[in-house]
Amino acid sequence: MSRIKLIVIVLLAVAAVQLMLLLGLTLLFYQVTPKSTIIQTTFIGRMQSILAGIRLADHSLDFLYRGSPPPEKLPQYRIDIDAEDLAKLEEEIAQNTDVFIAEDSRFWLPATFTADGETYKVDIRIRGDRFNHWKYQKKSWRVKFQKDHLLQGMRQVSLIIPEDRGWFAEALNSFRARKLGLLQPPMRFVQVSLNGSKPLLYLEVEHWTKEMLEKQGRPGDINFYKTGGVNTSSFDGWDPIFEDMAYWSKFTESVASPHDSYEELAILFSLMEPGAHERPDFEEKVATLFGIDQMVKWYAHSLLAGNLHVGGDNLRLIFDTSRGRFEPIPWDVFLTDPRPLLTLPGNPLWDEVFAVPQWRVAAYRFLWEYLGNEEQVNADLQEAEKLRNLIERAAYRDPQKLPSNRQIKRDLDIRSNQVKANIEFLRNELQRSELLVTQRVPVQSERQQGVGLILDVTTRGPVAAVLSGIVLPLSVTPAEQILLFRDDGNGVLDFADVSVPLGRVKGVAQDSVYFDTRYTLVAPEQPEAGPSGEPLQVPHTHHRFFLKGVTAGAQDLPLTLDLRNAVTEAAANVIHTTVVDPNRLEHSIPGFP
Amino acid sequence: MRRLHIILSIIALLVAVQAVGLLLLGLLIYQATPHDTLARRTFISQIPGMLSSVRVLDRSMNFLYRGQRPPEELPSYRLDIADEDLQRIEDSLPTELPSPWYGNLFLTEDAKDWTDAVFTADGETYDVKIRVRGDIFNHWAYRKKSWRVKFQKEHLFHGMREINFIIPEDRFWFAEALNVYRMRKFNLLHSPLEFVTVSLNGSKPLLYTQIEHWTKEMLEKQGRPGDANVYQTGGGDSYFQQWDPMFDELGYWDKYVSKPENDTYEEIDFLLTLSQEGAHERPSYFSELRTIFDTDRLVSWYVVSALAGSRHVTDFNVRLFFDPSKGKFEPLPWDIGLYAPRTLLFLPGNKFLDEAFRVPELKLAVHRALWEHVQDEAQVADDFAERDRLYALIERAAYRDPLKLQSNRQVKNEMQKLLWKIESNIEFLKKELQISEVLVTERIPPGSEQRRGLLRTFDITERGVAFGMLDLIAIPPEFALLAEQGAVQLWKDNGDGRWGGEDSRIPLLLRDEPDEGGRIVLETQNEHLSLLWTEDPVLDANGMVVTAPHTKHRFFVVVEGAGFNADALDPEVGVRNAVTGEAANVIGSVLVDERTFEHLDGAYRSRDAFLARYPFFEPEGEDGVVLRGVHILNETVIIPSTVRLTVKPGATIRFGKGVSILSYAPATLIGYKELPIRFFAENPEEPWGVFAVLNVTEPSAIQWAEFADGGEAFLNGAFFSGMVVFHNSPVTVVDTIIRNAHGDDGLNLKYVYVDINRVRFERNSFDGLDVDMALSGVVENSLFIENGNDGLDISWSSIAIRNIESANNGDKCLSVGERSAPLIYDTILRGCSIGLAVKDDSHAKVERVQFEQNGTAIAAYIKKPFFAEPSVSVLESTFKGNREQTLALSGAVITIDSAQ
Repeated sequence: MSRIKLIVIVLLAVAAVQLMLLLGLTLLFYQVTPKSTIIQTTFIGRMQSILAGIRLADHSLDFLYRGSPPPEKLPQYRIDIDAEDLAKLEEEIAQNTDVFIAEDSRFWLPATFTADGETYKVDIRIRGDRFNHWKYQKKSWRVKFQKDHLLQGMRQVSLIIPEDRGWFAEALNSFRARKLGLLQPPMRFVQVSLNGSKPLLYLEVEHWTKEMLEKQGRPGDINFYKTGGVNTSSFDGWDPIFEDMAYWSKFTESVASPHDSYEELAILFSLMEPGAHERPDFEEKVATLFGIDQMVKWYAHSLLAGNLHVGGDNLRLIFDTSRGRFEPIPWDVFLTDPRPLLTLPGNPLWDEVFAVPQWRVAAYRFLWEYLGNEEQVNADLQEAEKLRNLIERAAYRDPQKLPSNRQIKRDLDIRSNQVKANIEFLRNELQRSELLVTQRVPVQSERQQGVGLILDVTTRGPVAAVLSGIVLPLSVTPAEQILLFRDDGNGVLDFADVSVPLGRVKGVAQDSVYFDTRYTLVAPEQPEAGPSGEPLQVPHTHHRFFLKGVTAGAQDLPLTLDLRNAVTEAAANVIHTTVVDPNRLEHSIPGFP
Repeated sequence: MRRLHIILSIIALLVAVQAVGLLLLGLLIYQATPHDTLARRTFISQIPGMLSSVRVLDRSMNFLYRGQRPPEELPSYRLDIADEDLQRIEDSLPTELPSPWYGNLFLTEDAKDWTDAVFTADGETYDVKIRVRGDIFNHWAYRKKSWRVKFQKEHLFHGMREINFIIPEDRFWFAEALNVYRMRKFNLLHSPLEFVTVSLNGSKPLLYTQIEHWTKEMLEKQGRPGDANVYQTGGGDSYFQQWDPMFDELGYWDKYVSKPENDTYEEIDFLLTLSQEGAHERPSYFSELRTIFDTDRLVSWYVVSALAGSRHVTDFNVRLFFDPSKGKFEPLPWDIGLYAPRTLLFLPGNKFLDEAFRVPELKLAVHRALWEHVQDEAQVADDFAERDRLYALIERAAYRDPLKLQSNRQVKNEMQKLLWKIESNIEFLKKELQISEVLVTERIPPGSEQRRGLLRTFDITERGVAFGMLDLIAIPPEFALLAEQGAVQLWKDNGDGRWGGEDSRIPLLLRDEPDEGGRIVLETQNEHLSLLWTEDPVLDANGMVVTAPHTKHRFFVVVEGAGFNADALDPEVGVRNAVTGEAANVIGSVLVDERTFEHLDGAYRSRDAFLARYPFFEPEGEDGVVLRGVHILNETVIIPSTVRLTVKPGATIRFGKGVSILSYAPATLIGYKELPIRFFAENPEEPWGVFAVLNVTEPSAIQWAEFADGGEAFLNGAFFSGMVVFHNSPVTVVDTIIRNAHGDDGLNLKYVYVDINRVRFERNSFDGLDVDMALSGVVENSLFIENGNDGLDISWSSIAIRNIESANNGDKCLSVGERSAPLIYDTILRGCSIGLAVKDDSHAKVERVQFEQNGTAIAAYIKKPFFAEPSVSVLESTFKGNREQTLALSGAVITIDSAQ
């Protein structure tokens, strides 16, 4: 009996171990195989009930999540749509198997909207291009109010499922944008009861209308350019909007121009052409058509959020006819993990504009100042915390949301971490200014021009540096006058080179020379980048300076240079300094000419 | 015992669960992992006999497959090869890659070992030479091999010197035979091809695709000169590459048949020049191509290939016949295969074809021929009938073939897929060729171009798949006479973007019938010039199509003669699909008015350039420009941001109609009381434009100046509604007169600190002074008299207004709107419809103000419904002779204390 018992126990143990192994193996397979492969190529995808069962199981633990009490009550709305109309909408949606919305599904339905005890007759339709907005039970909506019965002055509002905007991320971005003086549509979280449902959490955003602009103190009758169309062509999902102007459209139209025309966009397109930043009038043209300060803040704002989502589809630009300038509206900036500053900015306009070294430095300086201001940073973190608290409980209690509370909590935690991570990452990145320096003894022909020393500075980035000064031992400074010239790129001293203003402090053993750093910026060029703008390798950008009035031989070199991070003003990281004396080649290589 | 049962039951359950779990996991892994990865990179490949066992298992079901009864008997042959010869052939075959650069086992020259054999057909016996054929291992690595059989010169088989027996699966079973059938329809040359069965050393019949080899005899039988060059490509010559890059180097080419005593390659040498990247851009390219190549047959070849979805005519499947009687190449379609549909946007497949079919006319010819074929129901039905016949012809023989590699399950599966591919290629092509997408940008040219007669530029971007055709332009009937006279012209840009002598004029024909809108219609008469072709699509590193191209074409609409109003022309273009003739799909269209930014470069030009352009300005100091004396301006002047503008005392500027000064530089206009600065219209009946300062950080100043008879302007994208305008540019205006403005405002200040003192706003058509979005500031000691609308109008501004008199204005003496919060005191508001109007979330404080003889002294209301209610707080003010003292609407609040 005991033998049987033993066998049974062994069998049980083996079976249990095998079960564990099987489960482990399944988990391993789940972790290493892309989810899309599992869904699309295996039997799992054909067994929707399995997926539904997994979701149900996940949702069954929703009750464990409570969330902290919100600091304030969210506005409450009620929307009533006729059940038949809703069924018609669902029917239309069911026919669309694409990831993008079909135009046929964007029809307006009559509805009743109730807020603060007041009832509005409205039209309502689904909104959002991608399926996450309309395929599932909880949808994103656009609500249009009657002209003579606006909701708190709003003609149209979008009620967006909050997960599409990174829960509180977009609201935080909007908060930051307003701090930076960038135009934003009014935005807040609300709860909506749809046909008597329990409250559903939404991000309410006023739609892009003339009225919205006017309330923000902008002219309403102006061109408000819109991108982000889908399925316009048979060939693309998202419209390739930078390929042709005719993909663009407008939310509002200018009344100043004689026609409903797009010449502002035509100019913008010329600025976005690859290499446009090298044209002689590029900077002047950009400065005429944009407020540079605003442009800098727009980019900095995006960097604070990880800078991944401001491709073409999320460009919102108005052309303010009172200023004759574009004004950007940060939109759907999202929040992502930090990306290196060497990553291309993200859309062709930024790629060109921020290829101009001083504008890129201006953006980084702005960021450095922003991040160095503890009050500012704390305000951001507090706002992030506040927004999270505002919605967490409402999100958990939302009965129609697609994600489970487990997923929501995880996502909220990720977003909270990303806010902090981006701040820390940027602080670190902005301190990274790497240089390689070569100090060259001039050859005979250069000495005849009066050149006493050639400085080659190679920047690797991501942050530019400035040549701030140089220490000259008295032994190398016989001349009274020291001159520094910045090479124009041809490698030889000539009339096209710029003389750098400088000051000199004489000492007992050495003189210190200080340069006007507006002339000595050594910035990295944009690196070669991959399809998502990620740098394939760090750039090595060469800059040359000619120093006159010194007589340094190889034995006197290297001289001490003051190279500073152009953003933080701390000492730049000079990876290596090399001395080159080409004159010595005459000795080491007898045949050298 | 019962406990034991329970425990055993638990174990059994566990085992059952595990079994199900294991099966599911196994299925998951099988489905989620590419099968070649499973077979080659996992332990499965290490288990001896594992894969062959699977194959045996699969083959064990072969008996279940019977196939259709063939409509005709296949020719049957017998081949006898001595066992030792067979073994020698087997031993000589490659078992290793020729070099690490090769992807497959490859039949190199040293393995092409001929041996003796006996061939029997129709009871006749032939002594033949035989060897394996085919570059890739599938032809010879398994039991059933592809063979080349060479007959003796004096004992040909049905007139054939050499024939190939090719394993039929390599030629996609019946698909290549269908391709050859189609080739004959398109008059293309191909070796005779048929299905046969061969008994090898007494085996049961093996199914083969028999193709006569490229020989002089074969050519002559096809009605071509036999003494000609037949060029071939292939591979295996180089250590570095399996397939030779034929179009990179002449030396890779070879011949099947050579022209006697002339074994040279100059024909290919010339062909390679036509294959170089970008060669098609040479003006003479198409002529050169037509000279050396039968382009009609080239087009037909591509059509047959496209019908098969082919992607198999890369470098190694090129066969070319150079016909010495015509002096031209003729393509020999070879091994086209059959593939699932793929877009016609793909490049054809090798450098020569890619380059040749970059010639728009050739590609269009292909698309049209394809369209004609797939639209012709009889043709398609004929294709399908042949497909079915061929399928029936070989199905049973294939199933019964004992040496084939595949199981009958696989054979059936492959054949079924081929049936689907033939149909779906036709359906796909029908759909593809109906796609012709265009984006249209219409441009109204700048004035300088209009004066040359250029009234419109059209940029039409073609995306394909089918090319578009600019079919017509429709213009208003007012231009009918000009159109009849040929004065309305259409030109195709030569690529430089500007209308000029090197562009090509497209002949137009006036259609008898106008369009539905009553516009006259001019139809284009030159297909070549009107064609909207596409360049290459966007490709990834592997040559895969990422997206369709965006190929821009520019056309100019010119009206000969002078003085036409470009706005009145308002042309529309009609674009059709050049293949189907239907209307093309215009997926986007926009209008660009190039006049708007015609002078944008004026905003930042250097001082020297500015002075050269406007020599009546004088240089002063480092960056100043000065205007002094009396001037008549007949064109708008843009002052760049690189200078500072000074207008000297006594300067008098008389402006022509609509002429303006727009300054991106700070402006100083300080005259003397006795010697004021004057900006007037040259003719008071014809208002000039504006004096505007835009986006200037440094302050401007106006003192002792007078502005009259100006209007409004739209310049460099900015709209100026006032005669004198400072937008986003701080300014002080003192001791000045602003009168008789014809636009919305006499003086308009936006986004600035307001500093207005001792200014007289008089008889302006609408508002005297308009202040928008002021940062703060004061309007004081000023008069607003007899303006057509409001004396003073402020919005979004919290400023102080003191000691002003606003009288006898058409609407309001003082209008406050859009969240303004002014403090108004010691002021007289008299004789207006409304003395003070406060609107739209504005909140005004009023102290010691005299309201006299107004229609309504104070009105407060919501004008724009998206604003909240306004309010007015009045202290120590007087009301005399007003018809109505206050009017509060829409919830507005007016409170009056200490009123008299």
